[in-house]
Amino acid sequence: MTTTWEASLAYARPRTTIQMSRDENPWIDAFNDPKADLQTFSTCIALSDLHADDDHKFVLADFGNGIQVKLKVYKGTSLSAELPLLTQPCAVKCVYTDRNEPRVGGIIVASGANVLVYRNCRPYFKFTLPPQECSGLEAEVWNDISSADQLVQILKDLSLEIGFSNLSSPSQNLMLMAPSLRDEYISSRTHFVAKKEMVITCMATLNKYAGSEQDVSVIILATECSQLFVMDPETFTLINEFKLPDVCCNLCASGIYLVEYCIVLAMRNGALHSLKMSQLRFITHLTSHAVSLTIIANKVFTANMDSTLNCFNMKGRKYWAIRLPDNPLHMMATPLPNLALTLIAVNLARGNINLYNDSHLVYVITTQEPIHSMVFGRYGQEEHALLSIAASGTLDIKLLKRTAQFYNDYKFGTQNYVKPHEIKFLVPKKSKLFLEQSLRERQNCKDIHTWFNYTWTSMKLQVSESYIDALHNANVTQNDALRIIVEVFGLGPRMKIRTVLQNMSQSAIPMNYKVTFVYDARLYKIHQPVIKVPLMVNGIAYSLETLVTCQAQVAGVVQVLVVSNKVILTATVNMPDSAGILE
Amino acid sequence: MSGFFSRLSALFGLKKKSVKVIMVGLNNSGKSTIVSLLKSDGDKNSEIVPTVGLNIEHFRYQQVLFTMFDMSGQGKHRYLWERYYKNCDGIIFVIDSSDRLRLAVAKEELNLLLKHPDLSNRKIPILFLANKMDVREALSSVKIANAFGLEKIKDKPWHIFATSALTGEGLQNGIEWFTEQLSQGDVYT
Repeated sequence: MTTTWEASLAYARPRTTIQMSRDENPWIDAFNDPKADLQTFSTCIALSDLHADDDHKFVLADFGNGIQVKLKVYKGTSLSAELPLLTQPCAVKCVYTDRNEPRVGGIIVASGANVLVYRNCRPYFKFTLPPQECSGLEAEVWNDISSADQLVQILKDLSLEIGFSNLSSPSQNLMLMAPSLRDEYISSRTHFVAKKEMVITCMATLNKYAGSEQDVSVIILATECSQLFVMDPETFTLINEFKLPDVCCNLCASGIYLVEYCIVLAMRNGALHSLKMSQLRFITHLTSHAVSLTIIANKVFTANMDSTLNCFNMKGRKYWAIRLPDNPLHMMATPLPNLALTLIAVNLARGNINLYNDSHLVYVITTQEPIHSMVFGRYGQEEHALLSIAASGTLDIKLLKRTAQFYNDYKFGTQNYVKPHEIKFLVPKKSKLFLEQSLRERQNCKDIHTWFNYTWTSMKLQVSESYIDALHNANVTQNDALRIIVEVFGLGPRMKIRTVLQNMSQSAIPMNYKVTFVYDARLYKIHQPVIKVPLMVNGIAYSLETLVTCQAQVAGVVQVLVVSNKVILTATVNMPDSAGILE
Repeated sequence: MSGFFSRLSALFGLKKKSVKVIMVGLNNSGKSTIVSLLKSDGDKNSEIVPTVGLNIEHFRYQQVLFTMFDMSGQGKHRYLWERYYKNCDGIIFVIDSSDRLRLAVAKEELNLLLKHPDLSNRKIPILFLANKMDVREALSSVKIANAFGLEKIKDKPWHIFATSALTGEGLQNGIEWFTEQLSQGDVYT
């Protein structure tokens, strides 16, 4: 007998008796691997159900200290697959490339002009953006002129005219090449192709048919040639193309491609444009470049390099801007449908991840070191997982508690910070003596105050008197009273150091002083390393001598120290070059 | 008087005891599979699908009639668990011992369960089943007990067994201990 009580789900959700207290951490520290040694950017990480087993994997392009770029797939707490990549990717995304069952997701890697597709952790398809045609003038120049210097000169003129970035790839290569290599390069290019390779700057995905999570997504690619392409992964063809006013360096897409969509593009000149149903519109010009941007409920959020978080509507009206405590490294949306919230997570240059609900700070995840990349979404069986990679390559996985709550009036640092008036001191109990004393103070307060003032004034007077006294009878200190002159005689290798000491003080008679030397034993040999100073009478110069033999033909430094039980005076002697070495 | 007779008859095994047990644990830990094994009747479901809300199953084990509330472990349905705490006589907590990532989540859920006012003052047995012991990367029951800090549970009888719901291994021992605990307690009606 089986009864399924779906009806019980209709209970109103807020009736939970378990509520998280305000100070409690809403995140569970599930896993931390300091030895993961991962280096990547937030654009190169993604979460997806790659094997249609309802166990979401973590995909990232690890730059591997610049030696070997690898595509890594994490399952749970361990690495499950590793694929080498030939070039450094600019973006990694996970999408469904077809509508077949079971729903096996594909990994899309954008790198240079190529879009690589992996399925089941194996290479599946390679798509290359068609190269751009360049001006016919360039081809003529290449065909007519065979001398390298001449060609470079004409290409330089051409680049001034049409811009270096509009030249074809061979021309660009030639101009950037060392002059000695140019001739060989030209001779190897017998057939010149006036085409320019595309370079993908950024990539985004957009659902194609429906809003569901498992829908096929189209891939939006922006290139260095100020173009925007829409690629259909079902057929691996470009289905749309847009010319942009400038190079797009950051984009975010929302909606459904075949129904209604909106793409927000951040240009390299700081402009923000939107693309809605094939119509490009100018939104606004940012005062400072956007580090990342996202669309939440028809609002555009940008984290800028001037440490601000901004919110605009699609028409460019600014709703608000808040100051971030530090420079942002990345910003992303963290949708929490069970709380009906979409938070904005910003990782900051000096550590910490701040979570904002609109303009309100709702939580700060403190981190020991700056977080370089992060991603939020479904991981493993867990709905709300935050995966972050720190500067040292540490992989950290945090899971959101089921009972988590975020409050707009969150104050960072309240948990560990005790207000000064709340600090409790260990005050001992009032003794009988204390009570008597306080009683006496209350009764004779006037007398006590007068007496206190009198003694206070007399103490100040005493201090002033002794100060004046000290000014008049000031004695020179011992250090000033001793004068030192150090002389070096000879050309080397044997030299003589003469130290002349003179006692200038009339009252003090220094005793038990010694002269010693600090020197490099490899360079010099000092025959009498310690010289006793006789009792020094005021005004008479005492001369102390020692022989020095140079061990090497290098000019060094010898420090002369006058010591008693402490160092009293030092003098540094720059030794002259030695004329020769005695064997 | 009638209470006396019912106790007496129970003592001689004349009357069937009936207990209400709730089965909790994270999603995909194997709760429904364990229940279908415990039912041990012919109509075993070959395909177990993720439970929505909860399923109620009745079966008999050693003269004890179990009413098993097989709760859904999905995050969005876990809030239902606590509604059944009040009337339950025992708890079976199923842990996926191969899911190292969510061990901390399971621990968190256990803490919420133990702190719940409907359970905190009651001495009811908790049976922990470290399921999926057949998986290669599975943690041992001792390690799980340590990770969960089970030794801190002083006011409730508990025991942890490593089980495999696919083969039924370890399940017999677990349910035997559990039935014993339930019979000792003054829970039959």
